[in-house]
Amino acid sequence: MDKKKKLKTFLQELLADYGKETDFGDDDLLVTSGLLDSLAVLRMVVFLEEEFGLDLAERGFDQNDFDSLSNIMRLVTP
Amino acid sequence: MARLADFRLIPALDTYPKVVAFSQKLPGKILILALFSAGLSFRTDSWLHLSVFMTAMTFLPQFRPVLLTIATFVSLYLANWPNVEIPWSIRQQHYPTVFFFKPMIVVAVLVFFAAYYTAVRQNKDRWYAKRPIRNLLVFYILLLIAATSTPFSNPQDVYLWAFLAVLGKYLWFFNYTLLDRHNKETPPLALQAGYYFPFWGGSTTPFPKGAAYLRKIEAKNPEQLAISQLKGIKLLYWALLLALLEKLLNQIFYGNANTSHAFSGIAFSLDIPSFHAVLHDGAGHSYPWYINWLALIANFFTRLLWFSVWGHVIIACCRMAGYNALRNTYKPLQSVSIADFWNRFYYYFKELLVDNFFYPAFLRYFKKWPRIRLFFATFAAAGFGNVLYHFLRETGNIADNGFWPALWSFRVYMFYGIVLSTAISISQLYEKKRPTDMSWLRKNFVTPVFVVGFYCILSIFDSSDRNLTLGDHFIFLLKLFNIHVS
Repeated sequence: MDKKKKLKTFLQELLADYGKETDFGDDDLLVTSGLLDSLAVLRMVVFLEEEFGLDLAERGFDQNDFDSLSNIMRLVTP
Repeated sequence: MARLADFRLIPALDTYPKVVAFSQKLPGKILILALFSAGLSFRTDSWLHLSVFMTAMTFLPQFRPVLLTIATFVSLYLANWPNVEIPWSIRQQHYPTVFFFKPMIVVAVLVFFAAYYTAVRQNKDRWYAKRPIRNLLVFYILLLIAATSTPFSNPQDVYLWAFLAVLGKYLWFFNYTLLDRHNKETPPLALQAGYYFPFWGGSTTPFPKGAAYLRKIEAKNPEQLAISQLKGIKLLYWALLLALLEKLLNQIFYGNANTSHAFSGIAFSLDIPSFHAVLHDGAGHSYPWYINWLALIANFFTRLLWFSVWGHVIIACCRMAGYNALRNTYKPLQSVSIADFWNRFYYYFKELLVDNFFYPAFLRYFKKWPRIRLFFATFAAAGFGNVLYHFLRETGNIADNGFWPALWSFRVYMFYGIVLSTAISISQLYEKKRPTDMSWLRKNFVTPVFVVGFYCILSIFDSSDRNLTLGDHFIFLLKLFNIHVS
């Protein structure tokens, strides 16, 4: 499975856990819109660390990076 | 049952296509502004100039950031600038009477931060640019310690204290600017000054977050502006209804004891003593245990209502200005866990702690131990960050009593922070294990009662009275269960 598919599946599971509609577009805002909260962002961080070996400690953290599928893709694509 | 669940006291105007379309036309815009101003006049004496700002931002959306900056500074001027807490001893003798004293201090603080921000952005490899938020906080704390370590004797001390007091008020706004320094949405620093104490109100907690966030939620076209403003009207009128309920409850609970909030025309009252009175009942024999419970519960719910109304009015104004922000308080009585309530009660304060303390701790420490990692990060935010925020907010207390005595006076709030962060951590750890197929009764009644009950009892230790000891608070807690300790 490619990165984008993996990410999308993960986000759909996350949205389902929050009892929200799982159909969303690449640029839909998931956190700013209130669909997901900071605890969900946390789960995204852990997922990205485990799946893609991403280390955000040095890079600096910006919640905006986790707001949409496109933004997250920019994080994991070198 | 489904129909009842869908019932809305205030219709979802922002979802009606015809209403949204009408709101984009001139008559619609005028009607929206008139309705909003009329509603706002019930809540604040500043309704007229707030309405003028919102009108300008409605008709000139292309200049919104500039208008916001102008509106913010005009509001600061009309509100006589931020309150400046200076030690009483030097305030009496040396407080400058010139009218430009406060604006001069505000300008000095903004210039200081502009210099720091520029240095951080231009020298990314220098030590102060590596962890700029932590460095700014440490610098501020060291300044406070230094300022309280020497006796006040010079007239110049008043300028140092005024600078410290105003910097303390801007501190968390500056931290958001530093957080946003890599974000492409961040506007130039000069325009960010409009986001510091924006005209729609707030506290030392930025509503809603920083400039990059505001850019993101800004209405990008007439339709988005109409939706944002319709949501603003809905929220304002919801706040007015809640304010009526608050007045009614204050009348029923306290009667004429709290005349500023009493609901005229209703004579009935339970005459419950104030929470302040029962908490200060040191001898412990003035009130029976059930009156103590009533005072605690009444105080908790009236504060919750007051707080909701306060946040709703701010966010309603923000939405009217074209920024479609999330509510500050969102259905806290429907919380299904302790972490959930924390998220719903004071959203922007929680976000401040999450952005400034939680994520930095979570990303750096205990990566190999998931439970400890979550626990530590939660403690950094809801415990350490929470206490630090409240402590640094009380510059008047620090100025008058000295840094270390003021810190010691915070021991009750420190205990509050420890209990709160422990409870939120445990709640988060068990979040995933929470059953999703809860019965209606359990989801909508039993669980919220336990969650709200926890926060209600914990609110005993959230008192702003710094003179009482931890023991005094525990004595009150025991009195709730009819246990008297002298």
